[in-house]
Amino acid sequence: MKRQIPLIIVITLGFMFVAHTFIPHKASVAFYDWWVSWSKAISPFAVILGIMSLTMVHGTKISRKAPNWQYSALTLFALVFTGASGFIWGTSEGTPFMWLFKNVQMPMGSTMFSLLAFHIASAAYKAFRARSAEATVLLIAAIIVMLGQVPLGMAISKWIPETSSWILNVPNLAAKRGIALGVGLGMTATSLKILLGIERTYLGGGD
Amino acid sequence: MKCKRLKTEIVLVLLVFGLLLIPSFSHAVTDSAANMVKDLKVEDIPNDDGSGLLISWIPLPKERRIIEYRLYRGVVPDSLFYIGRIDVNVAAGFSGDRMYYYDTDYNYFLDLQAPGKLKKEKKQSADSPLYGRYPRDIKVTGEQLKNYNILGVIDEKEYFLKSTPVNVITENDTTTYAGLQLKQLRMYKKLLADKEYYYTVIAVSESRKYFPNVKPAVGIPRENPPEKPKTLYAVYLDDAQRLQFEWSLALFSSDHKDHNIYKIHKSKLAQFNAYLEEVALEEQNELDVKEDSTTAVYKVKTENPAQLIFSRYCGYPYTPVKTAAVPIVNNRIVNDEKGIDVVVKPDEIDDYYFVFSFTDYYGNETFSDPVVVSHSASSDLPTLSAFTVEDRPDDKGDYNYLYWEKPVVYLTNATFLNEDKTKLLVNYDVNTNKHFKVKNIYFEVRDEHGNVIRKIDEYYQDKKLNIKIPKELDVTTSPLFFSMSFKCNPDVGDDYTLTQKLVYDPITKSLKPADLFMGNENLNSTDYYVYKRNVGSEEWRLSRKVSSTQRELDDNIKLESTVFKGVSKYDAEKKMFLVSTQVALRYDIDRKFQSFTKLFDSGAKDMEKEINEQIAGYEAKRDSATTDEEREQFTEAIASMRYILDNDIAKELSKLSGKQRRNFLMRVKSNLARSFEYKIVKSDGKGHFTESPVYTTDAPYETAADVKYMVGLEDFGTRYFQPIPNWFKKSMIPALIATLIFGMLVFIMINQAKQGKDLFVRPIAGIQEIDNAIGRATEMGKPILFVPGLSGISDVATLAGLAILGRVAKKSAEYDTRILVPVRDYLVLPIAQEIVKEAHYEAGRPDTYDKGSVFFITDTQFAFVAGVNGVMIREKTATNFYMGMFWAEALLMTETGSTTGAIQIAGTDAVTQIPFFITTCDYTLIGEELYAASAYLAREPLQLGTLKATDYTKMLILIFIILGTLLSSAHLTFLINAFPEK
Repeated sequence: MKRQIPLIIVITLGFMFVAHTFIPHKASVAFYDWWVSWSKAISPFAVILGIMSLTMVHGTKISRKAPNWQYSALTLFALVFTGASGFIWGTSEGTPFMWLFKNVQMPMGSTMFSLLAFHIASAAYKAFRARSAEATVLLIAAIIVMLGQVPLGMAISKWIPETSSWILNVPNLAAKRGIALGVGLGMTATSLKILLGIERTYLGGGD
Repeated sequence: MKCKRLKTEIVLVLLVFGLLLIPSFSHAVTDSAANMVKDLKVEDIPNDDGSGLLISWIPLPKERRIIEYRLYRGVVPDSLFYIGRIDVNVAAGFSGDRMYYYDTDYNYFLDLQAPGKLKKEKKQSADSPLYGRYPRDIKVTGEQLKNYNILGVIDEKEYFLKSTPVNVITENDTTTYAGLQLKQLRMYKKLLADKEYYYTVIAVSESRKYFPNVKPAVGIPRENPPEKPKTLYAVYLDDAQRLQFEWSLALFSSDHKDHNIYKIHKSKLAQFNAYLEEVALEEQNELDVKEDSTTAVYKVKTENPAQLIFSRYCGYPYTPVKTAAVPIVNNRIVNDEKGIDVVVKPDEIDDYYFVFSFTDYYGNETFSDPVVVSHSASSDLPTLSAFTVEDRPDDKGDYNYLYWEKPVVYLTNATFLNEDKTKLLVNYDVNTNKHFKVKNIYFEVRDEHGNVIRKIDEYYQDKKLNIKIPKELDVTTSPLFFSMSFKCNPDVGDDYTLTQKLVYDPITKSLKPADLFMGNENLNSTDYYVYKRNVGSEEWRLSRKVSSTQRELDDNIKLESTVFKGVSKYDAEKKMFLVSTQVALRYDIDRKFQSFTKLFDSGAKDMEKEINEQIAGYEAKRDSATTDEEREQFTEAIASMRYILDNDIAKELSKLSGKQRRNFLMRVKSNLARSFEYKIVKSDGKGHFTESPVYTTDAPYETAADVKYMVGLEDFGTRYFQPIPNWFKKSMIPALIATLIFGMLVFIMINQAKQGKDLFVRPIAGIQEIDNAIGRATEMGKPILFVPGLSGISDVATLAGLAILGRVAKKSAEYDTRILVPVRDYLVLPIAQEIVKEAHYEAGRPDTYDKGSVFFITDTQFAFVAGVNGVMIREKTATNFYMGMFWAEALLMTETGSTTGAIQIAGTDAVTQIPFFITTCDYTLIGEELYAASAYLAREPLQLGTLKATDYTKMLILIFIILGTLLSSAHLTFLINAFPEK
């Protein structure tokens, strides 16, 4: 029963939502909107699960005095302080909560994001080493595409921007569409497997 | 030693945070006067209906770092309630000299989201006059109803079915109102004319310090005459002996009553101007008398020499018709309904000026400048073909579909493809409608001498034309001439051709499309104005103005109906706001009369009694009347009174009672409100217009509306149209067929697999290596990291990732290897925990399951990356799996994993992230392989059958792609046209 009831719910509602795709009637739209509003109501409860998980993992570390437990203490302090500042002073512009968001979280996020530039350079180096015929083709294509995006490419030859746009619009687009086609079918197949109860791992366990 | 260092680090971090927070909480001691806004003014808004005030002030300097200005209003200076705010960019400040706030028209007054109790504004002294918003507390807010004009917006079901009858007993009589709780309606307010309102403003700094309020300023909204009409065009059609007028509409029209047109003999222009001057003096005098009652009253003495030739209700709140055709018959303009009978001799038409005016409900009238007619002929007017109204297919019942005329193709842009200007890319667009299916478009390009440069047959309309221009042709001096014709189903005729030029523009140095011509008619100079009118309305309203190159229109008709009622009373005991129970029924066009009824049975019976008494009174007066005119007036009044009781809807209502009656009334109202008749006006905006007759059909479309609610409306479906909710989306038939084929293939393949047939699936390296990767972690005695993507549970990629997690967790449990699963989504967390737990149970190792191994980090993208990278570095994970949906964070994680020396296997359907995974991971599952992985790992017939079916479907799609390409190359486009574009 523990498996069957969720499975029946998934299969029944799944087929109803598939039917909704083909039924534009206002009754179908109202039914869909009603369910979507319920799914929105679930999210706030799930936040509690996240906070509990975070507290449990870091609380355990602190209580066991695991290595670097002080970072866990700092994490929990930040969690409590940020939450409390939002509840006490509100979240509008000019409040401590917003100050923390703008002066702590945003710069830290931007710092992480900016690291991406270095990682891209590193990844590009790995990818463009001409160790095989495929890698050499990749290297040449990359050079043409990059030059085609900047004025220097046009200055070297008018063919570079044209070739660049051809690479992007023909082989690149063809490959992307090929992948998209496979992804679309894969998604449909997975959805169908879930609808028919073939794929049940999301219920916990393999079968 | 290490612990000591960590403690020092934490103290330092807290110190830095503390120091950074100081500015947030501290407020510098500031001079009160310097922090008040300056020169607060409250002024009446001109040309409005007496409900508008303009509040303005000089804001504080940028250095004060003001984040918002908050406004408060009240009817006395010592109780001012928050009404709104203006946000300011702290860094940029406010650039103008003064800030303005318009308190005009209906705006927010009260709803369920208002605060429960009346509260003093934050950070104010005890004697401050400032309060928060009007609260939900009816004892407080109910008292404010008399200070405003309140409009209640109520859902029809709440009004008709869920309102409560509330009797209000006064000295003279007892009135029944419909009582509604605050949760049943929203209220909007308008200021009352000639009433004093006090306003003040406070500034709020970046650190949320509320600066003191400036002394309240008072303002009185005054009812003003309408604004001056900006334009009037007058055209006289000599052959048809008809005057045509077109005018511009007013910005404020909420108190407008009529649109009027007058004629003035040229000899009387001076008298008319004198009259206007006196009217202006009288209007100013009225305001002066209101300000100071001792001022002498001034009245206009000069007679208005203008003669009314046209008058029509302004149509508020909808956008009304702004054209009028006034025929001259037998040298007269006659309109019995409006009492117009004016002599206008066609041969003297140039002796007249014409003026347009707006009148309001207060008796004010404002005139346009006088204009003379321009002469024209009927043949100069735009041509207008018949149009059709139908239900739009495949919708939920909220659109009517209108279409007209033949398809149109027009050039939109042109780009030179080379420096020599000999290669040209021309873009075009096609507008058609349901009636005409465009098969081929034929373009013929000529130079100015008529020499054909290129002929193109666009059998597949990709909206692009490649044209080679002869070297000897200089397109910068001579334009290119395009003539365009169609092959359609049904046939549009060989003579149907459109022409357009491409002309060189020296400024942009490119060829620009000129106007589009259909024969001699310039399609860019006119527009279609589609008007509609529902059964309960007196005036036409604009549905949409569309370019005359358009050939169809989807007219939106909302499914939900709302009831608008004035709110002026409340019942504090029952906690209800009270609204009128009078419900307007159908407008009778012949009688020019709006019948009505009452919401509740008791009210309807009382109304019937009152009307019968009135009829008896009128009959007595009629019998004793001395003149025929009086007798006629009473007879008309009696007929109108009887119509209220005897109309078809009232008769049906009288058979019902209670909730049944109210339900019937609601449905009748809703059906009337959603049934429209249509007409189209095609105009150049300057009085040259052609108006279609109202659309009617002999073949009514089937109706979704319940006929029993369309009482007495015989024209429904032939003249009045209501959209039909559809039960099947026909455009989805190809998708349905494809789904059924796919489903069928799945069942066939699963059956074959179950019967033991060996289904070959091509090997995928990434999947085959999963076992080895887990084995490696086991050998090294280090944990496995599994990231199930960053998106939510509704993403199929996440579900695929979780399916793989189940297989990997089971293997790792069998090998007794720790698995760490950091999660970004709250909803994914319990599911991932359950999957890993179940995997340990299945592997027979429930003791090794650690709930803490599946943990939530954060839902912030880059903070999550930082957390995952920290886990990789601290735990020295031997194998990293990334399965699901990823964005920019993908490379940050895999590069870190790469530096820690872990073997990495990734799988995603995010096309932009696949290259990063390929570069930095050892194995990558590309796109569909992610979805196939679970089946590969399970090796079960059910799973493999699905996988095989997917492969066969892909083969089918490939066959269609190749066939479509070959057929369309041979000008056979039926296959590609069989599929929907989106």
